[in-house]
Amino acid sequence: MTDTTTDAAFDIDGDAERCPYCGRPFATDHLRTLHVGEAHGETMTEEEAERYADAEDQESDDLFVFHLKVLGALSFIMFLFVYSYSFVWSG
Amino acid sequence: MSVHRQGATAVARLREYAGRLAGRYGPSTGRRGLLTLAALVVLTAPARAHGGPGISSGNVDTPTWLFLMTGGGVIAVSFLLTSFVTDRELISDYHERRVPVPNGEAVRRWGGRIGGALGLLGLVAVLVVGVAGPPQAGRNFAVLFVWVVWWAGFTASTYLVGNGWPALDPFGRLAALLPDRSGVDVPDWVGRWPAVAGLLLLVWLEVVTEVASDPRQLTAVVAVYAVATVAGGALLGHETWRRQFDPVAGVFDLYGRVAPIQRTDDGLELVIPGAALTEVEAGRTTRESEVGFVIALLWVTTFDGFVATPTWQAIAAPIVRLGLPGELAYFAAMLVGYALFFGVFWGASKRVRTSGPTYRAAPHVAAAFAPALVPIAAGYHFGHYLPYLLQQLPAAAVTAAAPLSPPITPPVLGLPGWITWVGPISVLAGHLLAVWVSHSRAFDLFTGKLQPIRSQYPYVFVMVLYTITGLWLLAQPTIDAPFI
Ligand SMILES: [Zn+2]
Repeated sequence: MTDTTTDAAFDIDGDAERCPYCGRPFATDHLRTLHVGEAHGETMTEEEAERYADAEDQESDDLFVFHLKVLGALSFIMFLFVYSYSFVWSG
Repeated sequence: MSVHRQGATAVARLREYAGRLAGRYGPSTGRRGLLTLAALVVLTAPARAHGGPGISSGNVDTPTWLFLMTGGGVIAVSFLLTSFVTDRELISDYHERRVPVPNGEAVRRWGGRIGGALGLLGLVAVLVVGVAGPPQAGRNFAVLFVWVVWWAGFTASTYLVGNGWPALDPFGRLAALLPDRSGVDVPDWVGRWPAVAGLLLLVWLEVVTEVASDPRQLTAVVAVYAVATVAGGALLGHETWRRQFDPVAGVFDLYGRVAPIQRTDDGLELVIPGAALTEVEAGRTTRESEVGFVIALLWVTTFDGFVATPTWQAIAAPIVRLGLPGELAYFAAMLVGYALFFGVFWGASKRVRTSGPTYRAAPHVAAAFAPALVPIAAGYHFGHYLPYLLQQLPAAAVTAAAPLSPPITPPVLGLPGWITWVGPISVLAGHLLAVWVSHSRAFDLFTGKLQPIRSQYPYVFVMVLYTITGLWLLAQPTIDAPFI
């Protein structure tokens, strides 16, 4: 909202993938494809729409795997606390 | 690619299965997560009840390390749980759901008139009673009014209700009597650094002088501040003074962004607490100095607690023994601590570029996420000052009735035992709101779902550090600030 998409807000090293509509630089092609769908959904071409749908599938699959890891981390933290408290309060 | 797609379909099948097991996969998971978090807070809270850090009651004792680990753990868990809230509509709803207050314009007009009169009355009362009233802090209305009513009570109202300072501000009103000349041009690089310096200076004065307990010194500081506001406003322009130089207006402005009532162009509106923090004008002056002011607010609340610990005494003792005046040791500690806080936050903002990954420049990232730290400062303030406010409020009321001849011992309220819970719980609550505000900001700034979540890794690390620091301070025995 406060940041514009002008280059002043970015610090680019190497080749950035740029949005064909607003020129915003992205570190990966995947992120650019997602951005085109999110920000320029009404003007994008059919090919871009297809690529966006694929990228969204990919993103939600990755998110699912990420959430599995999060559940793992949560279980570990819970275990750590239950163990610590029972250790401290029993002694 | 094909191997990857195959993997992806396997994942999709697994997901469908999990989705059927868990009901709907989406925002509701986030809500369930929040319930789990609430349960966690309630479960871990007895750690305090059975014997806070360093205090043991009966045969159950929770050591400080476990108390600190619990605080850090709650922040980490809350981050992990917010990662389930990835629905962009739900998140933008949080910022955009606003309800105009009926007759907001009239409320503001009358609030300005009544508040302005009260503010001026308060200022005159402080100046007169500070000089003519009794010298004991506990009996002097000026001292009780400034520290109890204004700094504890009014400040709490700015982040709990809304920023009423523009309506009350007697200093700004006095300054407005002089014409707005704005003859001196302030260079751009100055930004908001004068307000940062002013805030650090005020808190340093509060710690090393008797401003908190000597009515005469307090009156002198208030008078100097009034003169500075009038002169500064006339010389630099009222808006420049307010925005770039005045630390007090700046603090209330930031705290006010946490509150549910917000000012609009011509009225008032209700927002969800914390939602207006995204409207802090990060690029108003320089991004570095705007971030610097938020960090200053966070640091001064910490500094206040830090100098009253035995740890500070142990650090400062050898330095003072070498012959450095105590006041200078405090000044150095103030600057070193501020640089440390600023450096840690700036470093984290740089790390966001690789954790995202994103090409966004570090100053822009820092300026976008710094306002999320304000609820943390508010949490410390509330935890620190609520007991003090409740305890001293009767004394303030009684001395207000007879400011020049107050009773020998004005009444104070005895506090119930549960009040010790207020500190840790409000510190944690402030951090939880900060994690959420930062998360919702990330979805505004970044693309997709994983990039916003990954962008938060460095900040979560920083917030865990801040929480542990804050709880550690609460866990320390409080001593009188030494060497002064
Ligand atoms: Zn674009």
